[in-house]
Amino acid sequence: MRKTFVALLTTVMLLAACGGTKTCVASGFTPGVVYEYSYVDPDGVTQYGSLTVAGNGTLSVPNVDNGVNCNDIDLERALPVYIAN
Amino acid sequence: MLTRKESPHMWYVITLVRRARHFVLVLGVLALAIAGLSIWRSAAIQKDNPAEMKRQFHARIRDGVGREVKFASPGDPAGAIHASVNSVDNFIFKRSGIKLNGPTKNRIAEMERRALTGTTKRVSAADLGDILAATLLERVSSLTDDEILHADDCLRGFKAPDLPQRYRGRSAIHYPGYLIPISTEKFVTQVKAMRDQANSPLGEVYRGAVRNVVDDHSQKTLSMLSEAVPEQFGGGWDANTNSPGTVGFTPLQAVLIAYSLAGGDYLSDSEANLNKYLLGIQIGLTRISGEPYPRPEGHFAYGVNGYLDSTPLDLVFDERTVNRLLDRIEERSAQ
Repeated sequence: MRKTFVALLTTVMLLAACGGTKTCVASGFTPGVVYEYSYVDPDGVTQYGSLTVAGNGTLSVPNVDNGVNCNDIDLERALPVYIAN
Repeated sequence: MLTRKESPHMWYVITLVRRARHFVLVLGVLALAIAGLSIWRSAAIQKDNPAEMKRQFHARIRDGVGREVKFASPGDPAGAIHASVNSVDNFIFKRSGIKLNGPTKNRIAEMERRALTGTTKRVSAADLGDILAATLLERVSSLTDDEILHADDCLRGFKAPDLPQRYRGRSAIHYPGYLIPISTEKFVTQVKAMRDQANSPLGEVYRGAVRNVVDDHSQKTLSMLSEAVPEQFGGGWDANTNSPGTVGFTPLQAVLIAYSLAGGDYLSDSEANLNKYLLGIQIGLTRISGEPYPRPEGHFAYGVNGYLDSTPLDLVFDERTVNRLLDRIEERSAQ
């Protein structure tokens, strides 16, 4: 009983830690440059977005499904500026 | 208290439980660490703050057109008016390679003088939309088959002999704010249809569609410019009410706005900062692709094969089209 409880508790804790999405972060970029990115999600749908490189040179793509390998995110091109939709 | 000697079995169970607790504790700490790491990464990510993004965007526009273009004011001498025309011409050239010839610049200077002295009316935002749409449609109706192919090629992005393979053969055409997946065959067919039907009843449908796109895009551009640089564009568009301003645009302002729309150039960034931006692109795309991306030196940011945005400016902002734009401005400005 105790072992079952312990196993269950551990599983819950691990699942809580993992979640369904993640943020892919890459560094070494020039701050302020805007990139358009794309990747294919586990459903086979191509996701597009645009993001500005942060002041510390990191480019962060949020809400990426855990089933996506961050290395598969492609920078399509650079945009002149970031335009919020 | 039990000792090992007295109850080895029980001691074994106690040891197992202690080990299990230790194991759970380690796993728990690991899970929390992972959760903590995830939380830290999310927290470390600066979420898009629309107000801050807008402020930075406007600052970049002020750094560009706000700093490098000098419009003349009512009462300024002819020399200042010619200087203002040259500042716009130089600004456009440095960014796109497009240069207006002497007679066209003289014509713009004279039109600008008449607008600044009140001899002619300034162009309202609504009139500017009409003028831009009509000029674009007229140009499309005169495109040759080769020019249509050239336009398609331009709109598929920057090209260079050393461009990494992953950036070649694009299936979509790009224009700021628009990403249209379309094959060359379809693009050419549709533009040819628009060209060939210009004078038919179907031409009205095309004209309406083009007018809507031009209006939508020009209003967004006017709103953006008047907010970022109200001292330059605020007379033609009121950023507070997001509606046409009461003063209108001078011919030179109208030409610059036409360039902005035709070239997909938001007029942001000074020459120095634009060059830094282009270099940043080269660094980033090299980093992510793992292959050297062509350096920006020797390329313009905008216009034909623009490093940042490639558009067929040689077709829609050539001398003939600019002068047709000026013809329409003169018609609308006559008192």
